[in-house]
This record gives sequence, C-alpha cells and structure tokens, in this order.
Amino acid sequence: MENKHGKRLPHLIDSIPSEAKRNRISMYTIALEGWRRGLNLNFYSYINNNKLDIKYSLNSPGRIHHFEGSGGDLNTEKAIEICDDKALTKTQLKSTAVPTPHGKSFENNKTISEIMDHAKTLYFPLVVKPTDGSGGKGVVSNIKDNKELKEALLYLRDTLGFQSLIVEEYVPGEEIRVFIVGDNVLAAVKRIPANVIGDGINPISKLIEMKNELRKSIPHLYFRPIKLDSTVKKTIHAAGYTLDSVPKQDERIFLRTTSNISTGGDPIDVTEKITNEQKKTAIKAVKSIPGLVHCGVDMVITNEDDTPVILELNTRPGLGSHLFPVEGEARDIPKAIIDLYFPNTKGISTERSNVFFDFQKIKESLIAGSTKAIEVFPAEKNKLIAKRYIINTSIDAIEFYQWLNKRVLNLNLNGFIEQVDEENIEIVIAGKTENDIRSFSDLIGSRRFKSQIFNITKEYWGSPIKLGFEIKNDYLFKSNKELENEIEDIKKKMKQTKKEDNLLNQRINMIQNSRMWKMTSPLRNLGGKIKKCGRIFE
Amino acid sequence: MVENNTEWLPHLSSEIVSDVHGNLLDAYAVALEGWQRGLKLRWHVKDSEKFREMETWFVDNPGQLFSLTSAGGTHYFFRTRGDKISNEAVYIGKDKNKTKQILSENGIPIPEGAFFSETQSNSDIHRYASSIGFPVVVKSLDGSFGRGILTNIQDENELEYALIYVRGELKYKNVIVEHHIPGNEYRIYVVGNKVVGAINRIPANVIGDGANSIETLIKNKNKKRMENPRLKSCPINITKELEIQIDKLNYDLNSVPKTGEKVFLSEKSNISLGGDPVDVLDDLPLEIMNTAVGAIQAIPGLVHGAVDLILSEQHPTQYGDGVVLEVNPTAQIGSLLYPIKGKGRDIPAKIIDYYFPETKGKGKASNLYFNLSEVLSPLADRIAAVTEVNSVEPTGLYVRKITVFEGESNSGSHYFIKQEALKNNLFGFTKIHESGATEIVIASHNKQSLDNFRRNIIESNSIQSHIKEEVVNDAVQLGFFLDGDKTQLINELTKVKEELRKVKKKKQASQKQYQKMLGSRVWRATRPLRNFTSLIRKLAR
Repeated sequence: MENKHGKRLPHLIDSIPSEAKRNRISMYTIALEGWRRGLNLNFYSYINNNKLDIKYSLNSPGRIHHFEGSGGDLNTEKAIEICDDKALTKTQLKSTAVPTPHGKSFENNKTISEIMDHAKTLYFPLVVKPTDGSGGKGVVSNIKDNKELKEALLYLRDTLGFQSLIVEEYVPGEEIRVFIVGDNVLAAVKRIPANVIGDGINPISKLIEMKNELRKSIPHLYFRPIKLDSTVKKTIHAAGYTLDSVPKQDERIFLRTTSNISTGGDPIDVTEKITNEQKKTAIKAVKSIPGLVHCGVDMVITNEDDTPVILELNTRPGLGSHLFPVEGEARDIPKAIIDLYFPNTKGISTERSNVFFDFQKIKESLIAGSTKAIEVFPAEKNKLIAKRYIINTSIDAIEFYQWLNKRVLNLNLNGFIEQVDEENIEIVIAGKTENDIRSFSDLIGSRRFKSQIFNITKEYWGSPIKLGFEIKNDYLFKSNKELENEIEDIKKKMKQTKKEDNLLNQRINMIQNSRMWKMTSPLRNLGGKIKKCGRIFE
Repeated sequence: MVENNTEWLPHLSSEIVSDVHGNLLDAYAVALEGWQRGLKLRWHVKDSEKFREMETWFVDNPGQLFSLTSAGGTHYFFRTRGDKISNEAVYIGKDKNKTKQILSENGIPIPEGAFFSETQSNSDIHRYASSIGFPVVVKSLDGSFGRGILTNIQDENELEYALIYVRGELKYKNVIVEHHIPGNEYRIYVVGNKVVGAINRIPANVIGDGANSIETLIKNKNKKRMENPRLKSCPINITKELEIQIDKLNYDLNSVPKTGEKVFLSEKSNISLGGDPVDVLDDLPLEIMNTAVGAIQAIPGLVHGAVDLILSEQHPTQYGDGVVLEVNPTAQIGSLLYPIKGKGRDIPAKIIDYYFPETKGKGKASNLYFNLSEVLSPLADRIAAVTEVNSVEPTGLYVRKITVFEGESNSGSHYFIKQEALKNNLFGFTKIHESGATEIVIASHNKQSLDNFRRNIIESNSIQSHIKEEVVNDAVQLGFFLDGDKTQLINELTKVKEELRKVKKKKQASQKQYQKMLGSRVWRATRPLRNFTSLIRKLAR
C-alpha cells in the first residue's frame, strides 16, 4: 500500500505533536510555517460558544495578523459574515451569475407548510440544510418526495433547532473542495468512502488493519481509523465479500457508502485534474464576495457535462486533506498563506527545518484559566544537530530528568528523555553545534551519576526536534480513573516497602542490642583491622 | 515573630504569596498590584523585548522580568525596578565608591573613608585607617548580601586579619575603608520625592525566657520566621561567626538567658543573615527622610529605590542627619511588606502610582490573585518567550461559598459546574469533602453573573440536593479549578512516584546493612554460642 499514498511534505513529517492532530492541524501548520520563518507567534484564549477556544497571531516588526483556524484577518469581517450565512452566499453568487443549485432560503417566520408550498417549483431529489450550520451539520440530502421533505424540515426545526433553512435541488456529481488564495487555485481534493486495496495475499480484515496502520502515520487521520462496525460488514457483504475474502491485486473494496473522513474516508488530491473552466468558476465565486481573499470552495462537478456548481464557501476550511492526502500530492497551503500575509518573508524556505514547538503545554496553559496569551519561544534559524543516547543505568528517567531539565535548557539544548525499559533510558539531545552536544556529554559524564551509569551508546538522530526538554509519558492519554488507580497502586507498594523496611530495621536493632553483638564489638573491629593488614601483605 | 502588633497588607496575605518563593516575592508583589488595577501583565524570558537593553542579572529562571501595559503604554520591570530608572543609575548603585563620590558631591552625609584599588598595598590601608581613627569598616567594592563586609574593626591587628580575609581569601581586591559608625540601621524606600516605607534593621537576636537555651530560642525564632513570607527564606543559621559573637558576650549555645534579656547574635543587621525588620515609617525623623530623598535624587536617573542609612548616637554633629551607606535601585521590598513588628507598607502601590498615575486610587480586585508558577511554567519549560496573565476588572469581588450536600459528585456534574463558571466569567474552585459534599467557592466582579451561576447550578438536573450558601471574604485565585482535575492527578502521581523511589532507596540501604551484619564473620562464628544461650534461657523459663 506504500506506493499508493500521497507524496508528503517533507517539513511536516513527524513535526506535528499529537495534541495538534486533534482538530488543530490547520492552526498548527500555519503557525508552524510562520514561526519557522522567524515571525513572532502568539496563541491566545477567547470564549467561543461558551467554551474556551484558541486563536493565534503572527507578527513581524510593523505588521500583525490574527488567525482563527485557517482563516485570517485579510478576509474582511463582512466577507466572513456572508460566507457563514449560506443564504447570503447564495444570493451573492446568483447576483454575479455563478452557478449554484436552484433553491430558496427561508427565515424562521416561514412555517413548514409555507416552505413546502414554495418548494413545489423545485425538482426532486432535494437537499435541506441550515443557513448557519458548519461542517456538514444538519445537512439532509437525497430527499425524494414531499413526505421525506416534511420529515427533513421537522427534523431540522424541531430536533436540531435550526430555524433558518435552505431547500435546494440536489446536483448529482462529484463533490470536491478547492482551496483558493487570491487568483490562484492551489489545491483540490475529493473524498472517497473508507476502502482497502487488495494485494492478492491478505484478507479484507487484515487489509483494514494495515490501512489503519497507514492512517496512524498520517497526522490528519491519526485519530480517525476505520471502525469495523455493522455498517462496514454490511457494505462488504453487499459487495459479495466477507472479512476473510482475499481481494485481487489492486482491487479496491469500498467499506462504506458515505465519504466522511471521520468515519474512515480517504482524502485524494485532484489538483491536476481540475479543468480551467472549473478553476475559473471557483475563482469567480470567491470574487463575487467583496473582501474575500482566501477560502475553501465546495463545488460539485456535474455528472452530466463536468460543469461546476458552487455549493458553499468556507473562510476557515480544514487543511488536513490538502496537507495529508492518502493518494495524490500534498499541497503546501500554509506556505501560500504566510506568503500572502507576510510577503517580505517569501524567500525564507522552511523545507529543511527540523524544529517544531510543543502544543500540549500551550493548550493546557491557556485553558487552565490564568494565562491569556503565550508567545512561543522563537524558532532556531538553522537546522539543529541531534544525537540519541541510550543509557544503561540504575537511575530512572524521572530522577534523571529532574536533575537534567534546567541544565539542559540553560545550555540551550533541546530534546526529550524516555524510559525504554527497567535498565535503559533514551535521551535525544539537539543543539546548534557539535560543541553544544559535547557539553551534554560532559554533563552525563559528570561525577554525579558516574557510579550508576554502566554504558552509553550514541548515534545520530534524524527526526525533527520539539523545542524544550520533556520527559515522555502517556499520562495525558489516560483517563482520570486510570490515573487514580495508578496512584492507589503506588501507595500500596509504598506501604508494603515501608513495612519491609521496618522489619529489616527491627532485625538490625535486635542484632545491635543483642548482648552477643555488643560483646563481640571489639572482636569485629579487630577483624576489620586484620582484614586490612591481610590486604597489605597480599 | 508574628506578633500581635503586626499588620500586613490584606491584599498580600501570606495565603496569596504562599507559592511564591524567595527572590520572586518582589516581582510578584509589584506585578500583582498592577494586574489587580486592571493593567495587562506579561512575564518574559531574558532578553525579551526591552529587557535586551535593560541591566538585569540572574534571570535564567523566569519570574523576575515582567511588563505592565495600560492604554498609555508599556513599562518593563526587573524585580522592583522599572524602566524609568536608567542603566547608568544601576551601574552607580553597584559601584559603592562611585555612589559615595556622587553622594558626597551632592552634600549627602556619608561615612568618612577612602577607596583602595588592587594596586594599593595593605600597609597603605593601615596608614589611612590610623589617620581617620578606629573603629573602621572594610567592605569589598562589589560584594552584596553582606559578603565581604567586616564591621567594627577595633585595631591594627583586627584590620590586618580583615584585609587578609577580604582581599586574600575572598579575592575582593578593591575595598573601601571607612569609619565604623555605631547606630540604628534603616532601610528606607523612596519613590520620587517621598519616603514610602522605612524599617529599622535589628541584627539577629533572641529574647530570653529564663528556661530555654540560646540554641532552642534560635530554633523557636526560626519557626516563627517561617510564618513570615519574607523571613521564611532567611532563618538564623548557627555559624562559626555566630558562636564567636555570643562568646564575646560570655555565652555559648547552651546558655540560658534571663527572661526578657535580648541577646544579639550578630553585628550585621542584614535580613538575609537573620536580622529583624521593624516598621518605623510613622516615627521617622524629618532629617532622616530628607537625607534619604536627597540620596535618591542625587543619583542621575534614579527615580525610586532604597537607601540604607545609619543614625549615629555617637557623632551627632558629623552624622546627625543620618549617614548613607548604600543606595539600591533594585531593592528587595519584602521586609517592608512583612515587618516583624509594625505595619506592612504598600510599596508596590506607590511604584505603580509612579508608573501609571492614571490608575492611582482606582479600586482594585484586591482579593483576586493568580497562580504564579502556572503562568511561569511555559517560560520555565522554554516553550514560551512571553506569557500574558488573563486581565481582570479593577473592581471588588463578590465571593460566595456554595456547599452541595448529598449531591452526585461525579465528574459529569463537575464539568457542568466548570462550564457554567466559564460561561459567566467566574473564578473559583470546587472541593470534594470526605463526606461526599461538594464545596464550590465562586467569585465574580458582577453580582448578576454570580446569581446566574447560582440559579443554573441549583436548577440544573445534575445537582438536586440540599444546598447551603454563604457570603465569604476569601482570596480567590484566577481561573476555575475542579477537585480531581487531570493536572492535579498527574502532579499527585509524580509526587507519589518520587516518594516511592525514596522509600525504596531507604529499604535498599537497610537491606545492605542487614546483609552486612549477617555476613560479618564474627557474627557467624558466634552463632552456635547464641543458639546455646537462647536454649539456656528457654530452659530456665
């Protein structure tokens, strides 16, 4: 399957911390690009729908821009307002003759029967969606008759609580997402349902496992595996297979009918396949909204004649599918965005950069309640040199870390420490020069731990470096209950160890207080002296 | 010694500063004052923004560099020193000789003395000392915290010893030799042309009770110093020097002083060496005030800072208006905030008044504070270059304590509480009692949002039970903290892991000792004998 997945962006490989993989890819990759170019990067908290959320800003002397996800302040507030309201978008597109599905929008003052009445002018199948929904929330498609239409309207109004609605004709064709900056189409991506491709050897169940392994290696899909649920099994059976069937080489088996990435769908880059006419229409759509500079355009390429129809415009589209397609080429949108916002940094390439910044602690600090904003420690301009140490020692990683942490940071070194097993610790250290690394070697060679370190092996480390010095652990992926249990276990162990220690001390006291021990004390001292003399004569 | 006649500032209670360690106290007190007035507060790593140009030291660890911003602009601070003080003033303050020179030029009384550079010999110094007359003081040009200072040198012999010690052993070649002036030592804080705080520094001492030894009295006094945020980091240490000092009084550590007898344990009055700060602002003579203000104004570019001076009983004519020993642009103010006797003086407020006059007299959120280590942690981890503390409104807080009995204390309802708190912009925390009751302390600038919260919590389905509500006046930390939060659990886990490690180590040591004893040849050789004696004992029974 290796050769099938997309061509990746080298400077994003292993450079996205897990915390950012969860719905923060757009924010993190744009921030990372700007930061690597030497811009000041600030993250700050704000209240969004009663929840604490994070925005960020980048600045160079004399220029500051604020961002939210992949959206930035070069898009005017008015433009964002229009795009957030699908009815306004539709009106705007229509007025500039950009093709959109036939349909109508309805405010909350229109009753369901009034909507039904108006819908009579439209041809089934229909789609119903809220005017202010996002991320596909509340979209009901493939409505075939009046009965289904009524059900859909009731569902949106009563169950989901959306009042303003759009009813429009369903356009059969391929849905694609196009990313546009100014006059340029930078990327286009489509989604296909969860699937595996046969190799003539492995059964479907194994192929799914392998596909999930692959997904784990792609930041955007890390938390989105294909789940082997009843829908998947049904789909496989409907295609005439079972989990144990072995598909032929290169045969693609679809596992679902819906193409959401979150349920295992694949993003596939189709930038090269977009026709000029399709590009022109997408750009025209963006131009029809005054003040809109960059956005994601959702369009359908109709089955009938490949002409494009514009569905909606997103001012904060997720970039994950463009950056990490499963098939096709990855597109460097963050680079284009930073070029747009900070044209004077255009010449600074970050392709060879091997540093990235922690997001876990930044996020934790911002939601803990005391900290409003965090300016990220500036990036190293040059590539860092890194070494990996495997240390065979009786000291455990936590103790080592506590001793090393400040010293490493004060030497301007970065890296991490991890307990490999009972006797081995792995330490990765990165610095600007070989000399910097040598100062770390001196540190662990110092007298402090000498008697407890048995062996050190050193090798070159090629992966990117997260700035700072951390001890790796998996606490953050554990639930509170698991943590509580671990604490209990340790407390029990502690109690047991204390008991054993007391017992030993009782025995020691017994011996020390015994008459015989006291009586033989001169003899023991003498014995010691004799032993020493013995050594002299040997 | 937290005596009954001590009055500290209510908005700097020991609870509020309990997590603030030693040298961070100064910065925290000033930063907190600005923040409580509604200014934007940011903490910086070294060399960040304007700190690149400001003279600072020992700033590898965060917590000493911060900036405050109002609509009018930003000011940068290193500990208590703000950017209105020039670097030149800082250089002068560090150079004791230069300080003396400038003070003297401006007619500020200083002890008569002279500076001796590396090239000058000890005999030059001897000659000079004889000419001004003993007793004299020898001090290194650039030592601080009382290092390299020897006072009350009585004769040629003691002087020779002092010079060997300071110039030889400590390698402070550049020294000042001046009159030793016995008297009361003061530290006076001046902002602009006003004295805003003054303490009398009394050398480390204990007061006898007719029952306890000096050693016990020191121990007891140190226990009381532990309760004082400034003094907890400076206990009276039993040193060679201290023993020599009490020997001069014909005492040793085991002596039992009479009831009420004050025994001085040092000649130096430094707080860091165990000295007692006593607030004297209200009784400070006008001449002394004038001298202190004059000293600050004499140094170019120095607009606030501390003056150390002595009021001599023995030289009323020469030194009657007080004699200035040192001027400190980066002064510690802890002892002025937390004197052992008298009132704590609000130096931070006076400093902020000076930098942000538009905020003067504004009400402030005085029972709200922030967790310093939380705000500093991204800086300490070298993840951030700057962190900004959430701003607050400069108004009083309404604080309520709501106790929910027999409520479900599952985390679901707790997160509901947190969400409600965030929604209404409230601060506070929850605490689960062993009885199962949940205590919610909640605070807001706005009574309306407090009521909203209360109503939502009580009306919500997640908590339906007996509820008690009280109005309290507790200090509240910024943010909202749930008992049993993940970070808390992780901290707890790290703590117990560390403890377990220690216990294991201790057990290993015991094991080793035990094995060694069992392994001892003599012990093994006498085993038959031991068995025999125990047999006899048993038989005898």
